[in-house]
Amino acid sequence: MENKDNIYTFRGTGLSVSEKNAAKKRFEDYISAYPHLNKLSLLQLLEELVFLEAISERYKNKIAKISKKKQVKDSNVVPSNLMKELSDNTKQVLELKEKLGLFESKDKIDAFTDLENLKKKSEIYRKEHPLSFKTTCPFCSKIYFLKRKTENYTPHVSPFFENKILVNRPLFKLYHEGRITKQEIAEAHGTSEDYIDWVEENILKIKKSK
Amino acid sequence: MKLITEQNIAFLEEFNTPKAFTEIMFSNFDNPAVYSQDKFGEVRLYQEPFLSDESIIDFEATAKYHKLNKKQEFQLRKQTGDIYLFGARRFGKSLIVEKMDLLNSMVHIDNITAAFGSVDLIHINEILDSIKNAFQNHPILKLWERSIKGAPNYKFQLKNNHNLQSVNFNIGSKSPGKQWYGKHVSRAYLEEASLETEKVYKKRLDAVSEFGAVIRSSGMTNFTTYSPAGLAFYGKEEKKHVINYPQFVNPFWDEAEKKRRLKQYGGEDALNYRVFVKGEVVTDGIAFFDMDRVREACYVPEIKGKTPREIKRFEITKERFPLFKSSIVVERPVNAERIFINSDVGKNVNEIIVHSEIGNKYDYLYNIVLYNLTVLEKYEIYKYIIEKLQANVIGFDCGDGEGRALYSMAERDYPKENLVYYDGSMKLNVDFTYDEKKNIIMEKGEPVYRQEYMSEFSMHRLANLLYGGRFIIPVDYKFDSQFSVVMSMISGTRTKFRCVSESGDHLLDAHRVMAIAQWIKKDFNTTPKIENHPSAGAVGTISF
Repeated sequence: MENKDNIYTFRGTGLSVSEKNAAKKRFEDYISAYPHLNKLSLLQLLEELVFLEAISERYKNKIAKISKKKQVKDSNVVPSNLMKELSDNTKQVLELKEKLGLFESKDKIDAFTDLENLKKKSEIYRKEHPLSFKTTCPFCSKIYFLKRKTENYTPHVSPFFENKILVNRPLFKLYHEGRITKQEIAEAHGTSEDYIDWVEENILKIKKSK
Repeated sequence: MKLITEQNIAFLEEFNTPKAFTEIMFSNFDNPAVYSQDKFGEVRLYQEPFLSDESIIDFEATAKYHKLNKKQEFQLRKQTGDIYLFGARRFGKSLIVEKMDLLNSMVHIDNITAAFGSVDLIHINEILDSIKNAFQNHPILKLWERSIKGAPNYKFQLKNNHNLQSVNFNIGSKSPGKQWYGKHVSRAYLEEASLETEKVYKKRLDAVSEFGAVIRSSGMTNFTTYSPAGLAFYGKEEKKHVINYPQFVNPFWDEAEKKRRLKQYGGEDALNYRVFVKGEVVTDGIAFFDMDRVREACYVPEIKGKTPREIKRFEITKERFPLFKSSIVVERPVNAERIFINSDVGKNVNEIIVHSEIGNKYDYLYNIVLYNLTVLEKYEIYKYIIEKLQANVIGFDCGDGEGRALYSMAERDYPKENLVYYDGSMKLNVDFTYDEKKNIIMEKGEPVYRQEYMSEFSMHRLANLLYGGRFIIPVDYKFDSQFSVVMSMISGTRTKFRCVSESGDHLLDAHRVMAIAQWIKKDFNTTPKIENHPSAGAVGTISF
């Protein structure tokens, strides 16, 4: 149950003892079935909902009781005032369920469960097809496994990084040969032009006269 | 259970790839609660190593292949996830190493306990408010929400049993790092890691799980070699996880920004420019203050879990100047024997500190900061404070013209014996000179003094006063952040001191003036009574 931090205590004000017990059970069932009901405001609304549902039961019991009377049994109808009140109550129940997201949220909850199931399935799939996910580290030649299929790829060292620092030596070669400008090499690296000077000074160790 | 389709596999491949996940799920990294189907975020090329690759690696399969035990499997994860990113300002350190990585790892790594730690609540709020907002409002991320508690003690419990808690180092308190107690985390995020102290670091070491913890650390290079950040930066084991960048790796760094920074820090060779723009580690400096000793000796302690009082700070801008009398609410404490008002006078920022002398101790009462006021406006405020507090000793940093102007205005209104003239380039008497028999050497009936430069002597005096517990310091993050990053460097025969703090060095400088004022008006007066220095009388009613 999601209300385990006890952020809300069900009270059941206005209900008889037996109704209160039944309502409390329903309240807890809702929380278990809809884990998104974990905020104080939502839980307050949920108590309203189970209250109205308990009232609904009352109306239904009353209708059942009246129906046992002979004249009512013969006419085969239910008093209109009772039916109207029951119908109004049902409307409110539906409105509250809508507000609590008991219809649409079910999809969301299912989306999370679906995703979790999908992850489990993919785990099984990876275990059954390990070679499809096998990779060889291009630096140390050790084998490791990815969560992405690697059968159509070849391990490759990115020319853009040296010890995790952004520097592309082939591009710097072109730059030093004057085949690309500082602006172009900076754009290719996705940095400012001053960074190019910084790389020359700190990574490539090229001494420049100021 | 239905079979998995090629489409499902393709979806999960993107979902598990950190860059793809980040760019598809979050179109605006500043507001990760927003999801857009046709807009994408961008992890810049240089930022790619800042994101952890853990979510795309199948550690379980790799461990099984190499026949590794659980601890060794965790080491694989640690090798992948550890990062120590130290560098300049504004190139997305915290944004990627922490914020975007949190969003990624919280969804992908199930059944773990993680912690996000920083020096104070402001830094924690900065990141975790955004994370909270994302898990409560992002249409996809909110599927993971189970229960989330916000400031001051953040607690995230997700449906995949990823639990994240905040750890406030409370650097400015008497017991920093206390919140690490009782935690056993397998993932730790450290924001502003350069400011982590040894005490906090030791507590963090005890708070990791039995397999260790993945460390995601980011901060600036304003640390010293033997601080926890310095040891990580130069550590053999951590070396391959260390990244260091200047601000100009950011593609938006341009000439205008450069001009702004040069003006702010005072030139390319200025220490703050080297640290905050170039991201350089200043290896020739050592931390001057032993802050653990200072905190122990001077910080107001927490009594029975009650947070100690905070410093009363008033900030007056030119817009608020007309109302300054109602803004600055100060009063002389009844137990004050003398009131010291000292200030660092800068062109744009003027930092005033007020101490109350009680016996041998100095209670740090108020910090008044004046921004962009004229000399006349500043003096009006000084006069108000001096008279309201019936000050006894008033010290000015007269290193530049404005300080000297304020001093000469004060000289006209108050007795000279109440004033202290501080100029770092000037020398002051620090002791007598003695002959072989330890007698004070006299020349023409006057003792011969030993002299030192105020700039150096003020720092040593300050250290003595702090280590001796002569100050009473309430909670003040600004004080702690400035005093923690004071570096001393030998330059020829002299020692230079630099405060490498983002909040500047004005509070430190004001305290240097205080150290000199206290020396001249109190401690040096208590040395052998060769002559009676004029005692300082109070302005107003009290006199000594």
